[in-house]
Amino acid sequence: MTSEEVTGPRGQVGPGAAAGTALARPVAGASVGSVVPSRWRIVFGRFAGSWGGRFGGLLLLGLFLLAFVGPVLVPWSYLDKDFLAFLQEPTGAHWFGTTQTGGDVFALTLRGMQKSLLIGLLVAVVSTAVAAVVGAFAGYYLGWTDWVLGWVTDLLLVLPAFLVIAVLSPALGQGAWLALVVLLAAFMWMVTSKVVRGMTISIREREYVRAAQFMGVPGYKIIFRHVIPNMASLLIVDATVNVSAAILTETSLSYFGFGVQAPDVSLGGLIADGARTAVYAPWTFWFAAGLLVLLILAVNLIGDALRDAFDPTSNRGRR
Amino acid sequence: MTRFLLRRILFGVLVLWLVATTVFLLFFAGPADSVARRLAGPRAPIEVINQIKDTLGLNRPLWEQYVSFLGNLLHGDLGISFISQTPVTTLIVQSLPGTLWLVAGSAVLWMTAGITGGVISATRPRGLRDRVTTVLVLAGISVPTFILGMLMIYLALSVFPWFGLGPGPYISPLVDFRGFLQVMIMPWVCLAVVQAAVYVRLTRGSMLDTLGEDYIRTARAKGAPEHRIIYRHGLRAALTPVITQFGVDIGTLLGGVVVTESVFGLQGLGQLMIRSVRDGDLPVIIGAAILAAAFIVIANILVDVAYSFLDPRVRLA
Repeated sequence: MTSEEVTGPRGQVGPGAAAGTALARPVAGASVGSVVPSRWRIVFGRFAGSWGGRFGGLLLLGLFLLAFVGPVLVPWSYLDKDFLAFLQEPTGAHWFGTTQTGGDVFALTLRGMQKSLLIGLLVAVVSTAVAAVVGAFAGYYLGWTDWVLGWVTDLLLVLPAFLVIAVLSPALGQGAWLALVVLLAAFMWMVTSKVVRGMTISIREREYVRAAQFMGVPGYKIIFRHVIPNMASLLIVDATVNVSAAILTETSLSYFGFGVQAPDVSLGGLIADGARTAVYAPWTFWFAAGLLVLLILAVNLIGDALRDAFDPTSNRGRR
Repeated sequence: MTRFLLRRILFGVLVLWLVATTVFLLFFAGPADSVARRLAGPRAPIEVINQIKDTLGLNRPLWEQYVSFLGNLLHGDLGISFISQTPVTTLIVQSLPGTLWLVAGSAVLWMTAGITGGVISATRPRGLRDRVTTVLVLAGISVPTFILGMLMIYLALSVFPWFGLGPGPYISPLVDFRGFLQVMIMPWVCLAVVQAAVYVRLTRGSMLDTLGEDYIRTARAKGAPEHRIIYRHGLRAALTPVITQFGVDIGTLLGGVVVTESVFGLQGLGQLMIRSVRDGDLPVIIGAAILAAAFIVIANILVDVAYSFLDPRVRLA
């Protein structure tokens, strides 16, 4: 979906799509690590040792705390209207000022951040899980399973995701943000699933998979116990990349009014509303826009740091 | 080659038929009532709504609508817009130039910036220029298009008004070239910033992989000059994945650059989509969706063909 550029889910031109191919590399590392616990410790050490990992992690933690603890600190909720303060500058009573209808910008922005964070994380987990399962089943069984799943994947890649989601999401009704999560995830898993399929085809020839087959372990058990765990590094990095892609798509949709529906708020909707008053009341726009950029930046930093941490060749350029 | 092409085209037609059917079912089967209600207004009596559904053919059984829809589609007829009563093909043809110019101009910018940036940062990994590029790329992928676009509009209108740049509908370059540039420059840059960031990453990664190959070491050992190694030996091979991504992106973007077009009010396909979704204008939505899918399918076929020219290891069987 880029949205186009974001176009996130869609044929995903976004960062996700490009990453999909780049992601194939860490896999080599996955098979090399024979001592599992130490491998995870190495990865974590490299992640925590990198500037991006530390800064991104702290930033995301800070934003999380702000989004979920912040609302407790102020007397206003995102539904409240202060009829004594329309379009007021930031003051002690309204930290981020108020909107044209007297809504507290601080409470609204934090509510929007909560929604964006939740939707982003859920969509990423769901879409990566779908990618793993579909790709692994197609690659493990091949034959007609592969054929059917391949067709579904290709069809979804061609469907204009932004348009389909835009048409369907308002029809879902109010407060149905979980359905929005499903819709977004439905258009975000295809590229990864193709990568997973390719990797599964090579993993299924490994000795331990052969051994399990001869012991009579059923296919679905082999997939969940041996195939998918061996792609953990790819899937973790992919899920992180998908978080920012999902947040971008959701906020773009909400910016047009097709995503999160009123009375609930999303950062995208807030930014669209704020843009109308931004020139003479900049606080209605800048807080939401700034926090959204910081949020995506934090997730991207973590994604990059994770990719480097998992990639055994990432030291190549280092002297 | 001919057999490969034929098979790919047949496959593409099949995919498009599936897309058309899916889109038809998704959009047409659902909210016929709500469309009629929207057209009639919130307080219209039930008879009016039924009459509207009759004239639009929404009362016929679903399969009958589907058959006539497919038949018209085969004749290149996408139906008539519920709202403006103009043929959908006319609406699409009207909005196409804006999107085409936007994508074409922007593609030049992002390919130039993306490949240059990628090569610069790959030749000295972790050097100063690589680090600066990395930070810029991070900024590029972290700022949503609609925020970047609104920032640019704000700057153009209030800080640099003497340039005469501003948001507005597409103007043909044949009619008013100056006006065309004034309207297009900002959308070009806005779309290119986000895209270039992705391409810098892609080129950098692909370049690093290529520069690690044995034949590069051989070229170095022979004493070939560094610029020759980088551009003739390295970049040429490294560009294959970049070209693939380029084809896919062009196909996707031609189907409508929704966000950029809408922020700048460019009146292209993307904005036509947004408007038709807001109005519940089903024939236009379906037409736009099929067109977008067709662009992607065609782009994919072209990419496969280009691949066989770029990479001698690929043989089309």
